[in-house]
Formats: sequence, C-alpha cells, structure tokens
Amino acid sequence: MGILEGKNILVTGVLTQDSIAFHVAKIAQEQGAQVLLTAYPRRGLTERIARRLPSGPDAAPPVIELDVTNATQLAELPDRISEHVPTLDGVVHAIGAAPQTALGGNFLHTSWDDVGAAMHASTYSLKSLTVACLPLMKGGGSVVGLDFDASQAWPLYDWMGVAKAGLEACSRYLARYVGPQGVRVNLVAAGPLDTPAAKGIPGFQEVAGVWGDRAPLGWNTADPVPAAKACVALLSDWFPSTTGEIVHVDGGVNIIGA
Amino acid sequence: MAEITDDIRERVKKIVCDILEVEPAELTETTVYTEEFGADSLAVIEILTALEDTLDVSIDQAEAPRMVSLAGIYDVLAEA
Repeated sequence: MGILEGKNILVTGVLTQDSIAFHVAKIAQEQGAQVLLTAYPRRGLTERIARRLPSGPDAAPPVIELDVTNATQLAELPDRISEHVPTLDGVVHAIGAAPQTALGGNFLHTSWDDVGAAMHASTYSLKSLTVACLPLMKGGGSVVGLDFDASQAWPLYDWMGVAKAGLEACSRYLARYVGPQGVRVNLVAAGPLDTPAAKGIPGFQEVAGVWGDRAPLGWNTADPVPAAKACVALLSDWFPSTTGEIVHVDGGVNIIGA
Repeated sequence: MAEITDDIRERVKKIVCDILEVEPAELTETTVYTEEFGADSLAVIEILTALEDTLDVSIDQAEAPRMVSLAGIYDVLAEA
C-alpha cells in the first residue's frame, strides 16, 4: 500500500517529462494517489505528457486549464476539480515565471511592472492557489511548493530570487492562517535541476557548478526524483505536525559554509 | 526513421499547423515558425511531443532548437 493511497492530489506545473511536477505526479500515482493536473500555458502539451504517466494513455489524469494570475479561473477551480473528485488532500505548487528583464543581471533596472509580474506568478500564486483549493480541503490537507533556496543572492537569478524569498515568507504566513483548518504548507528547496523552467534561467550552469563542487552528497542536475520524492512525502500523512517548513533537497549544499 | 515519405511530411505538417493554429498554406517547408508566427519554445516542445506520439519515434529534447521549421523537423526525424 502506497503512502498516498486514497488521496486526491492536484499537481500544477507539468510541462514536460523533465518537469519536477511530472515526477511528483508519477510518484504520487505509484503511491496510490488519484492525480489531477492543471495546465498553463499549453494545455495540449500537458495533456500529451499526462498520457505518459503510470496511469497510461487511456486513464490519464484530468487536465484543468489554470493561469494562477487569472482570478476568474481561480474562482472556477473548485467547481472544475469537483467534476472529477469531491475533495482534495494535497496541492502541489510548481509554478514560477518572470519576464526576461527580471533576470540576467538587469536587477538594478528592472521595472516594477516586470517585478510585479514575477511576484504575482511566482509568489502570490501560492496564496491564490491554496485559497482557491481550501473549500475542497475541509478535512485538512497538504500544500507543497517548489522553492530555490532564497537565503542567499545567486548570480543572475535576480528578481526571481526575491520572488522565491517572498514564496518562503508566503508559505510561513499561509501555514499560520490555514493551520487551524488542518492544512499544512511546506516547501521543497531543490538544488538546480535541468527542467523546462531552468532553460529560461540565465546563470543556471554557473550555479549548477557550485553544487558539483560543494554538495556533500553530490548532486545530479538531471535527476528530479529526489525532489519529487520529498514532495510526495510531505503530501503524505508522514509529516502530520510539520508546517511552514522548508525541506532542502540539495545534496547538502545549504549547510556547507565553504 | 531512414526515409521521410510524402505521407510523413503531410502528417508532420498537419501536426505543426494544428498546434500553431495556422493554415497549411501559410507554412512552407522553410518557414521558421518561431520567427514567423512567434511560436515559443514550449510550442516547439509540444510539436516534438506530438511527433513522438504520432510517429512512434523518440526525439531528444536537445533537438528542439533545430525543429523550428518543417525542413528542420524532417532532418531530425531522418536521424531519429
């Protein structure tokens, strides 16, 4: 029996088979969960990738279009989910986006409009998505978000780093507000991974090189499974009193001074 | 996939037109659709994925930058 047996899990951010979210959905299914996906910006792509999950092409999970910055789609989300399952036990936030001007060394000159767009999609969306799903988590649940360690300033990551720092704070405040409903909110801070999202991040190779040099456990940028397993563990009943936490899945880099 | 037959060319063109929502007449073999129609990298990945599903081939995503025109796709498929 899997650790997510009988649970309904909503997973955002499945773009390709290289997405961390794809592996979360895959392992969640293997652990017994019924998985639903949201898709943005290309629903057709997510639907094709969904058919490659263990459930197979004939029983692929439902795919719901969701732009987390679209208030109408957020308001309609519980109804769209209820067409498939009556309740949710877990939500995976694997969403981050920023205009190119917000990364790459332009930090001192990025406009508020572009910073605001990054914050809306990458930070505020954790709150928006969680609140949208709360009516379906009356019996409690687990929200897990994907983070990149925001306690330090990385080369070229710029406003996306600020957005991730905001995500970490947002997660703590959310944990405080939704805890009384039995909903836990935690983040997984993964090391650098070769995901579709990483392809748009300038300086990725430079940062990935740091991991190769410093991770006590070593680090494979091509292996999203450790981060995905941590997400599944946090979605399960095995962290019943853990909330507002950041679990580092980074080969140990965050604890190394030099 | 050694030979790119007319049938395969036709199927590829239909996939690309469907995903990019363009008319077949608008897409020549050398049209670079990332420039002509503003298709982004995820649109190219969707095309790649659809080709894998339809033609039962496996294509490395590292090939995506070459797959921005029908001619580029045929080249990649010939090597797949």
